[in-house]
Formats: sequence, C-alpha cells, structure tokens
Amino acid sequence: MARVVGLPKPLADAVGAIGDERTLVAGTGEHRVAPFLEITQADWEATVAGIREAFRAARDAAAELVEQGQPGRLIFVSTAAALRPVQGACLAATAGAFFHTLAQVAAIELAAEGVTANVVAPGFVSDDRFVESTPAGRAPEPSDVADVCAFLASDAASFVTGAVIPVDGGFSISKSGGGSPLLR
Amino acid sequence: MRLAGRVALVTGASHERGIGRGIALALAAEGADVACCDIGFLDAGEQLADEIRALGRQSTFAACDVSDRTSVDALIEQVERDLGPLDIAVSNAGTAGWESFTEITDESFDRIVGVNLTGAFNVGQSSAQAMVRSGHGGRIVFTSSVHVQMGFPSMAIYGSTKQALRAMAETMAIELAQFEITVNHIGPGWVKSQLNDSSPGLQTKADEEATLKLIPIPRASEAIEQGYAVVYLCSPEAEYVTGEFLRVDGGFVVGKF
Repeated sequence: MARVVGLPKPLADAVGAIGDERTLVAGTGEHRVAPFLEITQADWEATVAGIREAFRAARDAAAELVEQGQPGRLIFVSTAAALRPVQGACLAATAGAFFHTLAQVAAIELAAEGVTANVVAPGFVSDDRFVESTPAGRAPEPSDVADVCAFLASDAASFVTGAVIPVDGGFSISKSGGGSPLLR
Repeated sequence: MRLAGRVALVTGASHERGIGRGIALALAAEGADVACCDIGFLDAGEQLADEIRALGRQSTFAACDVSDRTSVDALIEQVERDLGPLDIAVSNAGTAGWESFTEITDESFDRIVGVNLTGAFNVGQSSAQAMVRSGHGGRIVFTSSVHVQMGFPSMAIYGSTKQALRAMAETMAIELAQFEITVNHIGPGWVKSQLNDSSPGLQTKADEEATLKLIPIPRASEAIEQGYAVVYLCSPEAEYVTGEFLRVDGGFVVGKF
C-alpha cells in the first residue's frame, strides 16, 4: 500500500489502495476558498504548512529509497486550478503548482536511482458545480485519480517522470465564463 | 515618457548588480517616481534612491523584510504618504539555494519559501489592496524565472516557489481585472546578480562558458533589460496584457540544443 500524506479522506482512501511501500502520494492539504483580496495570514500560513509537510515527506521518502538502493515512485497531487486558474482557488493553485516544479527537479535528480516523480492534477473532486465547464460532463471521482496514480506507481510507468497529468475530464483545456462557482 | 506621474514600488532593489536595481532605474527613466526597498545592501539602496532623484524623479529607500507582512503593510503606507497612491508594484525580492533534493534542509525550505513565495504574496496582496482602495487600478509585476518552464537540478525549492508564484499571479490576474489591475510576471534568464554568486555551476570561467553554450543569444542579460520588460508591462501599451509570463532569457528556455 502506498504511503499517503496531505489528502482529504475520500481521496486518501482511494490512492492508499494502490502501489506499495515504495510509493508516496503527497497532497498539499485542504485550502480555504476565498477571493485573493480576502485571504488572511492564517490562511496563507496553513497553505505553506501543507506544502512544507508534503515536501518533507517526499524528501524523506526519496532519501530512504536512495539509501536502500530501491526504485520508487513520488506522486504529487496538485489541482487543475494550477493549470487553468479559477477565481477563489488561489491557495490551492499556488500550493499545487509548487509541486509541478518540485516533481520535475526531483525527477531529474533521482532518475538515475530509479525513482520517478510525477504530478496528477485533478479537477474539483466530487464537486458537481464544475460539471457544466467540464467537457466530459461529470465531476472527477477519487477513483479517477487513483487509477492514474496506480499507473504511475506501476512498472509500466517506469519511463514516465517529471510529467504533470491533468485528471479533469478536459476542464483545464477548455474555457468557461460567468464567474467561478466557488465564489457564488 | 510612458510612466510620467506614476508611483512605483520595487522590492529587492539595492544590490548594484541586481535585477531590482535595473527595474527601478528603467521605471525611473520612463518617468515614474520609485520607492525602493531591500533587506540588505542598505547603503547601495540609498545610493540608488539618490541616482533616481538625479534623474528628476522622486525616490525613497527603506529597509524591509518582505516575508514579514506587518513590515510590508507599513512600507506601502509609507510609500503612499511620501509619493502618493501606488500605481505599480514590482515584487522582485528573491533568494536561492543549491542542495540536492534529498538533502534540502527545513531551514533552507523556510528561508526560500519565506522570501520568494510568502514575500510575493505579502507584496502582491498588500499592493492590490492599496490599489483597490485608491480606485485607480494598477500594475503588479512579479520577478519569477525561467525555472517556471525548465527544471534545474539542486534548485528544487527555488524553482518550485517560482512555479507557485506563476499560479498565484494567474489567479490574481483573473480576480483583479475587475479593478483594472493587471498582474504579470517576468522570467529572467541568466543575470550576473548577487543571487547567482554562490551558484556552484557558475564559479569559474569554464562554468560560464558552459552556461553560455545553453543560451542561443550567448551572453548574460543585463539587469536593465529585465527593467525594460517591466516598463512594457506597466505602460499604457500593455493595458490589455494580464496573467502573462514574459521571458527575457536570450532563448534559454526554448533552446535545448
């Protein structure tokens, strides 16, 4: 079973069932939805704390794998809002995007050790408010995210590293207007 | 002069080879009054303010730790008292570190995130709040990096803060458009700034020659060239440009071979 940090329960349960102890799945915790101008210092500090916790987990997992001479998988869970911005989701987008480059640099440094580092960027999981702006016509479910994580954790993905994979039914590649449902 | 009568703030402005100084001088050359701040190199900061005043502009210099929100709010209040309502905010202060991924210390993480990301949030939000209060719109520009589009080994936290900044700037852009505030970021390539002095890959002449082989326009950027990009983003010509990333990198990112 994969080690999981920083994911809300339904998602943690789904991705916790994939991979093995050489797989780490790291999210950045939950972030307040708020207009940028209304984000408080406490909100910001909570977001930085979420980033810090996931970074530490990834660094320590990578060090352990390298020390043991084991191949392994680092999988970071970002958000589609880090690919296409969404009003009200600044904190989640900022935290998620942090891991795009973190994964890419880790991928470069750890490739020779057989450790891959990738990112999945889900849409708003189980949130029906975004269905109209999702080409696939439904909200992503935890199992959608877990399926991609399972691929990245598998031997079949041993040559996939530094990738940022949207798991969002096309949400981040399509345009919608009328204001963010997060702020209605 | 495209920025005559505008009031600008530039953070991380002091060092004589720094990008911030190039930005401050470029803004002043186009007519802006410029408030400068930095956490260090205080004498150089005062000299920069003198240099800007010699151009016929108003200028101030203040010491400020951008990672401390109280200090940032106080700085912006002081700038508005001294120079008038803030029109342009350039969040440029940054720091870096070089460590392998598995050896990055908690202290290093906190230092780089504190300045590059929390500092950018503090300056970005406090500036935006001031601009909304004034009701005159404004321009916010962040100094991000080519790291947004290109991974550099041993610089995981630095690059990650810049990528996070990219997403923050994009979200700010779509939220603040209603207040006539644009938000953009520039992507400097190699500048021989103080930030790069301790780069392990830039210690010898041979290191520099190897770096130049990676850059289609084979030279380092002058700091003032970064300033020219900021002037454009703050000019009337860029009124319709927001959420954008403007690389000034001599083709560094697009040229792999």
